[in-house]
Amino acid sequence: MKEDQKASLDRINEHLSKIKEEINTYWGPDVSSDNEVNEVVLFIEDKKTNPWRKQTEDIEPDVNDMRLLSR
Amino acid sequence: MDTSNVQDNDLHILLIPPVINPISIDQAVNFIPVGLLVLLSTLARSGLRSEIYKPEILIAKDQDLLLVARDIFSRKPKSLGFSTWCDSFPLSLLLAEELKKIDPEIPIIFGGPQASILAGNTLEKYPAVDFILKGEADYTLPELISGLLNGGKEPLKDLPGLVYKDPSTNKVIADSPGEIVSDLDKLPVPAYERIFQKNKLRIDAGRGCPYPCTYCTTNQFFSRKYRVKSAGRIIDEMVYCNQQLGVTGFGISHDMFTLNKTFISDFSGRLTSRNKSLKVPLSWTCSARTDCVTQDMLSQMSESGCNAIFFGIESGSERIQKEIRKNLDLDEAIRMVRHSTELGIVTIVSYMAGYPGETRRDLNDTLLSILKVAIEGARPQLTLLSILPGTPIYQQHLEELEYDGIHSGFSVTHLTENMKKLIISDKRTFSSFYYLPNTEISRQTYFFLADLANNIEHFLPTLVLIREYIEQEGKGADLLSYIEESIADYQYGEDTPLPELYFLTDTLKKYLEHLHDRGLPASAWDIFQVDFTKAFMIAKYEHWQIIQAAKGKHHNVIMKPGPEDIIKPVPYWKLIETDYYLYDYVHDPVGLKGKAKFRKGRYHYLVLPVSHRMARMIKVPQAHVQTYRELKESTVEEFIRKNVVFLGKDHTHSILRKMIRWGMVKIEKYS
Repeated sequence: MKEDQKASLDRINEHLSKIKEEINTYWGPDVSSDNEVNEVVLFIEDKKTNPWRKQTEDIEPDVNDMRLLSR
Repeated sequence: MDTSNVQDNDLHILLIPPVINPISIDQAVNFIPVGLLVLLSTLARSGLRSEIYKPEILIAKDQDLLLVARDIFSRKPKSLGFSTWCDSFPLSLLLAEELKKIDPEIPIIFGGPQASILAGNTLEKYPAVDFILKGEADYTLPELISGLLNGGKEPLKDLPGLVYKDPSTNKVIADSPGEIVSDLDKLPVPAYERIFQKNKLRIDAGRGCPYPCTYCTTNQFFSRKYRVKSAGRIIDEMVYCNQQLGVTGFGISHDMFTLNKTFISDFSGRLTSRNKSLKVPLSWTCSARTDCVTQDMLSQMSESGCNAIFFGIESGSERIQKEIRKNLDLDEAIRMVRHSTELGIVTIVSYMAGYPGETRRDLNDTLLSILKVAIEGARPQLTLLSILPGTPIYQQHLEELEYDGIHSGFSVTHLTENMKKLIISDKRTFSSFYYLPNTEISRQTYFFLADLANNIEHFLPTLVLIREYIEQEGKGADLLSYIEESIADYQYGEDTPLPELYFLTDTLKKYLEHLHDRGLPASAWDIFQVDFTKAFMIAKYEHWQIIQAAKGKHHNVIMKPGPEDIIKPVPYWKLIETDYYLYDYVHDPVGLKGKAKFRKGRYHYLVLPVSHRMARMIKVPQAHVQTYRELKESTVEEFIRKNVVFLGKDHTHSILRKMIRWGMVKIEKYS
């Protein structure tokens, strides 16, 4: 592996570790345990299939949102 | 219905949409099926006042249903019409029960695909439902409501598609088939002005699908009779929405919009001409089969503003293609996907897993097909099969279905205890929450694969960049076994909240390392960095949405904050630094493959999700980097004071406005 390749890889590894660390922290208890709706959040976190991936053809808003933002 | 109390300004019917539980703030609350907008218009034409209920109360536990029921009655409706889907049907039924407890006299009418297909069964088992109107209720619902207003059920006996209990015998009368509207141009323009959110506008283009796919209910609910509004009428509706609501991007609502080549040519030609006279050309998206488009059709569609297509390939296995009677030519399917992405059309390709008798080879073929479409620049998605009532798969396998509390991604509802009990007690009605066991492939593997495949779309720029390597080395690979071997290392836990995404990122990183000595482009690492940042920020965005919904927060955007208002950065965007200029390539990897100029230098980009599936990459001038890098919660006044020194007044205000418009910060009013 060349020097510049190694440098790129090191930088990516560092960035990836940092972003994973942030994600792990963010998945912590953002909703207090005495919040009565906490169970919904926990339920969705624990789900093995992620329903929010939108398993439908409902793509229009996404594409339109992208467009609106790019204006 | 107590007609003596009906006043001129009464709400004759309140329509309850199928997505009732606002678990995620930007999906449920704003969603209205286009069919309900048509009903608003046909009801109005009959002199009946109607509204659509906007669901804003989170249903986390069974007691919340009472709050929703009270909220519904606060609108003072004289009758209630539920639009029903399989995934929210338990909730619809329990809510109907709650409503009946408060007012036993209020007529409750169910319609839509789920209730239509299981009409007799539903009325027999669930007494809170008074009537079911099967099929397309555009004309029959106004007749039913008028009939009820005029004094009773007797005159309604002959209404097409009406299922009800005979008052004398208490037997369910379900003889007549649901109505099918033949001439859609005769329907009034849907009440588009009643949508909750402008970017969710779908145009009612037509109905019906002639194909016999064994997992699908479209051809049962809308019949196999393909119908489409005239091209002129559809364009008129689009222009109407553009003029009245300022909408420029549309979803075409039709399961099989591209079935007729002549029609598509006519539609595209007319729209292309019309667009030339508009200040902002109209764009549109649609669903299609890969064998119902050609390269020429796709070009015409693209020219007329088609910017996204949803293709259902459903399985990469030729054997399964025949079994499910989808019968696609898989090579042709990939070619059409390629033509579509080459035209710059956002191309989504759907697959399913968990079919009856699915073998490891079948599933591996699907994984290879998913990889094929991804390296062509299309967005794959994988859903676990949901067994829908009335389909041939349902008829043949109902007895084999099992329930384990984890349902297909197709069912997007949060279940309360009573909903779970209902589902367990009635497999026939709630089959979509069940699954078909497979002796060769574990449920755990299926779940992992679904989430894994649904994350691939975030990595398209990287995958397209290294397409040739994957084509060469991936041919015939046993992806299924490789993934299964890794599952144990990627278990959900505190240090792995997103196992499938962690697996995908790590695997792709390893593969890029493997390509280091095989000519990997130097820019690959930066592109990969953008991709995984995008993926993780989208995951954060989703999570943030759920938390906000759980807290009951529905933000109003404040565009002009006062000096004492608080700027709160949202947690799901990131500023990244790269060694190469990537902006053009990342936005069009297919178009710029082999042509992109990856200039060396120091570049900064913002990665910002705009939805649950897409994130935006925004160029950041060097002079603005510090502002984004050091952004933290502060008052508007503090933000301006800090940044005006090096940005100047105009730029500081302009950046703040942008951040608000893009959703990077929320403004809290000073109180």
